[in-house]
Amino acid sequence: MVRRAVGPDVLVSAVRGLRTNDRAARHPHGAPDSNGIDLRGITVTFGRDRPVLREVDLVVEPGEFVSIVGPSGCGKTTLMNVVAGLVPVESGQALVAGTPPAAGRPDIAYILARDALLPWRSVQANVEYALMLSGVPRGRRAERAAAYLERVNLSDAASLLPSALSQGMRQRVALARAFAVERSIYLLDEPFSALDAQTKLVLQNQLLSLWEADRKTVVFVTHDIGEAVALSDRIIVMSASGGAVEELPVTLDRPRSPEDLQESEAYHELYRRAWHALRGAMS
Amino acid sequence: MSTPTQVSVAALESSPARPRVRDAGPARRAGLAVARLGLLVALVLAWQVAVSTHLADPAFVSAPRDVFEALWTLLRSAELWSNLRVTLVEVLVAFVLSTALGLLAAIYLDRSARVNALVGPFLTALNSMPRIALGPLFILWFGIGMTSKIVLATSLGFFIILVSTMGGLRNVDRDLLLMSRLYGASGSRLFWHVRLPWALPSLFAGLRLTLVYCTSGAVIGEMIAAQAGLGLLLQTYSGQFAIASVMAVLVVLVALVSLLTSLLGLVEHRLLGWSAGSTDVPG
Repeated sequence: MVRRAVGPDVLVSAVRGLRTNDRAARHPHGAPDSNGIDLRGITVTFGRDRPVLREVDLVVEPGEFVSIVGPSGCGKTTLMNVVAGLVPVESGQALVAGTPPAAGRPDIAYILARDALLPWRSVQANVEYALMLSGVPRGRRAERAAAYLERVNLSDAASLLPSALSQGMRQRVALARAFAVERSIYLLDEPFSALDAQTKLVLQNQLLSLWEADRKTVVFVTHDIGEAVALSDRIIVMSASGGAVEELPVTLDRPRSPEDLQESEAYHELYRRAWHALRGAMS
Repeated sequence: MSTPTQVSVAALESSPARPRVRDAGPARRAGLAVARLGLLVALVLAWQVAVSTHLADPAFVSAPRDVFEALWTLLRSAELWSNLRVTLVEVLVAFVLSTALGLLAAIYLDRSARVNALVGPFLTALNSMPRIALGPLFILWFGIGMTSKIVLATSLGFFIILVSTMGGLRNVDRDLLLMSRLYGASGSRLFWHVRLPWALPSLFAGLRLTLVYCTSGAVIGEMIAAQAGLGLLLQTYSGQFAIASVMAVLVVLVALVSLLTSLLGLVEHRLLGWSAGSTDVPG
C-alpha cells in the first residue's frame, strides 16, 4: 500500500515550484498538464438575469489542493458542477485534464456534501460498489476496499450498515470510497459541513493523509475559512456576485496536522487574511 | 500494510457499536405473544358468555364451542382439503401473476413518463371498478373453473403492486443516483443497485396487501359461481344456515392468509434487514 515513492517534503517543494512558475509561460496554449483544471471566462446563468457565475477563471495545477470559499449562493457548487460536467458551460472554455468536462468521467471523483451511502450495503460493500462501478475486477475489490477502510480507521466497522454509524463515520466511509477508486482529480463539495468541530478535525486529518499518499488534484469547496487554510495550497475567494475576487497562497509546510495548526501563528495570520478577503467579497 | 496516518485524535470520535438490526429482544417478544393469546381468549370468552346469557342469538352468531366442533369435523373431512387445494392454487397463481405483471408495468411506467401520462387515467378507471360487480362478467368470459377466479384475484393484486412499486421507484434518493452516476454507473446498474433496492420496502408492503386481496378475490369469485374452493364451501354452508361451519371455514381462511403472510415476512426479514427501524421517529 505504500505509494509514497518520494518523501513528502520533496513533493511540497515540487508543488511550490510549480505554483511560483508563470502559468502562461508553462502552458502557452492554455492547457495545463494532464490532471489539471483550466477554466477560462466561465459564465453560467441558468436562464436567469443575474448570472450564477460571471467570467470565472479557475486554473488548478496537477497535484494542487485548491479551496474555494465564498458567501453562500456565490456559485461555489455551480463552479464544481461545471468541472464535474454536471452543468453545461454557457460561455467560456473549460478543460479538465485537457478535455471538456463530462459527468461520470473515469478520472474524476466527486464527493458530495451528503455521504450518499447505500443504506442496504455494509460499509465494506459500499466501498466495493464504487470499485465495481469503476471497473475494478471482482477479485480485487474486497482487498482494496479493506485497505482504504483501514486508512480511515474503519476496519472494525466494515460489516456495519450505514444506519449504525455516526455522521462522522459515514463521511469517512465516503472518503474511503472516493480514494479507493484512485481517480486523478478529486472534487469535494463541503464534505464536512454537517460535522461538529472536533470530528471535523479528525476528518481533515484523514483527508490530508489520504491525499498526501499520492497527491491528486483537489478542488475543495467550503465556507469554513479555517478548513481552507489548514488543507489547501491555495485559497480562492469568490464574491457574492459570482466571480473570483482574490487568491491567497497558503505557505504552511506539509505534511500538516490541522490540530497542531490551531496553535500556529502563521495559520492564524493566513486565517485573518482569508477572513478579510471573504469580508470584502461579501460586501 | 497501509501508510502511517495521523489519526491521533481518532478517539475523540465515539464509535458506537450498535447492533446491525434493532431487535425487540426475546423476552419482550414472548411477552407480546402471551398478551396476544390473552386478548384472543378474552374475546372468545366474551362471545361464549354473550351466547350463554342469551345476549346474542346462537342461531345467528353461533358459539365458540359449536365453531370448534364444526372446525374439528371440517379438518377431518376430505371435503375441506380438496377445496382448500383449489383455493390455494388460485391464490398463489394470482399472487405470482399480480407481482410479475405489476412489477413490470411499474418499472415500464416509471421509465416512460409519456406512456404513464397516457394510460394513467385508464388504469385509475379500471381500478375503481368494484370487483364484485365484475365477478359475474369474468365467470361469463373465463368459465366457471379456476381461470375466472385467478383473473378476478389478479385484477385486484396487480394494481396494488403497480401503485406500491411505482411509489417506491419515484422517490429514490437523488443523491444516491447522482453518486452512482458520478462513479460511472450505467442505466441498468442504476436500476439493479439503486432504484430496485430502494423500492423494495414499498414493494413488500404491496406484497402483503396483495396476498390478502388475492385471497379475497379468489373466494369472492368462488362464491359467485364455482365447481370447487373454500368460497363454494362458504356459499353452501350459508345456504344451509350452518353458521358454525361458515365460521370454521373463515378460521381456515384466516390461518391460510396468516401462514402465507409469515412466509413472506421471512423473505422480507432477510432482504430488508437494513431498513428495520430506519424510520423510527421518537415521540
